[in-house]
Amino acid sequence: MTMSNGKRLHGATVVIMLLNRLRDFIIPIIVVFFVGATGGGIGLFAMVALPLLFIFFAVYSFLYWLTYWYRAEEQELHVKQGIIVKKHRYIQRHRVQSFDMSAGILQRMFGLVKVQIETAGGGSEPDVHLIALDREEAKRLRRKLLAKPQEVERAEEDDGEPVETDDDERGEEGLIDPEEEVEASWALGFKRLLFAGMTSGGVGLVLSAVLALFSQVDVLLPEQFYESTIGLVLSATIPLLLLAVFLIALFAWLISIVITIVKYGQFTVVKRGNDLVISRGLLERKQLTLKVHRITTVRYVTGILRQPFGFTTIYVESKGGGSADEQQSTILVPLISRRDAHEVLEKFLPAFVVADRVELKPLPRRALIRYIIRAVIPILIIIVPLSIFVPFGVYGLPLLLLGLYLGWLRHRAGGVNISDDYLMLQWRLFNLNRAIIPHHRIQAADMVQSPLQRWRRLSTYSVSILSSMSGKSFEIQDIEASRGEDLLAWYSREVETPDFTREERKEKSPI
Amino acid sequence: MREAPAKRLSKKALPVWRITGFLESLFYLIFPVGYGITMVLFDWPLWILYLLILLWIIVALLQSFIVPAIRWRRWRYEVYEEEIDLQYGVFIIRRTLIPMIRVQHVDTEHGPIYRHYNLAAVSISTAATVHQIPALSEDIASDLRDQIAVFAQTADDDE
Repeated sequence: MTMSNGKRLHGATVVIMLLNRLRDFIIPIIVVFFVGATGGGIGLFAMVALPLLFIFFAVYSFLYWLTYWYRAEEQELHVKQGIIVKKHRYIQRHRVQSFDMSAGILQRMFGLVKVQIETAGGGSEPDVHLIALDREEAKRLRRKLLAKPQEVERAEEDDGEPVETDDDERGEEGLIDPEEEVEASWALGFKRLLFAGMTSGGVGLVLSAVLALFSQVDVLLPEQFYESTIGLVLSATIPLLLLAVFLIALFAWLISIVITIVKYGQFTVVKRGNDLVISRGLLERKQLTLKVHRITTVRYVTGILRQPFGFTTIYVESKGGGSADEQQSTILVPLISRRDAHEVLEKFLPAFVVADRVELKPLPRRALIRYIIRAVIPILIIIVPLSIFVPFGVYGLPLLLLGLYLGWLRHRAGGVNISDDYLMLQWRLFNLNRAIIPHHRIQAADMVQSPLQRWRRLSTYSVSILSSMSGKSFEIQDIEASRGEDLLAWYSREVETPDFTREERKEKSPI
Repeated sequence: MREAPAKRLSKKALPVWRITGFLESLFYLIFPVGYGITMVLFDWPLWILYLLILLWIIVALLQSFIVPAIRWRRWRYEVYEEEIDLQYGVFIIRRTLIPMIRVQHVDTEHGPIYRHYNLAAVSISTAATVHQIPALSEDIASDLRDQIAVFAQTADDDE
């Protein structure tokens, strides 16, 4: 029976899975622990529930390992899994789109690697996820799955997936391939990594986490300490309180820097032939291989904190690839000065370099009021009830000014233009985004007008492109109605493309 | 500006949309009914019930007469050799272009109400989006489907 089933994962899988599960549960466990502490039920919980949970996970992990079989055959990979419901999966070799070897901390402890195999088609999970394999075994598997096929199919662009023909061994970290020539490479470097961390804008997120943690901690502290602290806080002078706030913010900021460093440490991009290999991560190395011809859009994202320093981030959208913590896009270059961005793009994705620096056409002035209203309304929704029901809530009203400013910023940032076969869109939510979308990557184009927009002769233009799993759409709101029509005509294959370089007489119309 | 596409949906779309619009408006009955029940239980004022009933009648009229009429008047489509041009919307008007080379497949579908009126809807799928032309007469729908399929096949990929 064993022989016909194929191979099991490495035995350490059980331990790795168990630890992973416990890690996932650590926050709920802590929360229950604290909540339990107030109710006096901590003893019961710690003595019964925790060991039960542990045993359950241990048994589950063991059974998972016991029932997981995989076998690489001539033309396909066969995976059999399932403790109660048995699942068989056959993956055609020529359908394999990416084969990623990586090693988390747990895998590294045992000197093993994790393998994720993806095929074309949707799903947020990788199609096959082998939790722990011998490095040698993983390499053997890759050689088997990615070996050059006998007949090289002409890969069709949109549905047929290109055949991966890279059958060479990659280096120790799966990075360096001696056979294929490295055409271009780029590394983040520590200085920039640090700067990226300092300006990541993740402070707010971490701050809320820190505050939540503090609000949990006070439950644990003895009442006496609590009372004396309250006394201390109440008697403290305002400078002291400000200092405390400052320290907490500083703490959150430092944590956000550490998070960035761990996530994007040792970031490198290497271009080899048709592949872009992006590696990142300090503790857990992540490696992603993107095919150049599968990239559908390049996007520059300039964070509010980075804008004054002239730094930007380059994202790419691609069919396949894209990770959850980057909103299904992929970071190609985490931090680069705007001057160098052009050069780097030329090296890695020359197809996306827009011929000459074409200026964006700005939004019409009459769109400004709409942008401001859109920015102010969400603030009003929060502020108005707050100032009615909460004492001192009125002090939130200055936030309205912030809304006005944001609306003005968004209006100023918005712009669109055409350069030959490229659509350039620029918009701001908080960060400044500029997307470069080739005509032949657009799946469908829309021009939308609401009754109010019709009245103001404005329109919203949007295009859909293919991103990691499904579509993604980019839009620009409240452009000149005639510009929307021109953009639609530019996309059309039936109508002659209007001349975008001609000057705007419509711009000077009243209203 | 390029002309709005010329072709319209079947006239029979109107009765279908009136029916579905009315059925949809039945859903909003839960507001007056729910209020009626709580009103009896908690002794709440009666006039709100009348107001809710009035509102429901307005919504039902809108849904079953006015919206279908506007929607039908707006809906235009045109299938060219290289692209499909759609214009639709009740209050917000949307104009969509789908190039033939992006079309992955076309389907016709009809539910029980459509079948009763000999209607069908044509769905056009690209890799990233799905678009539907509703309420075409069955013959036109199947012709359109076949035609799009042919155009989609012959459209040259320029990549």
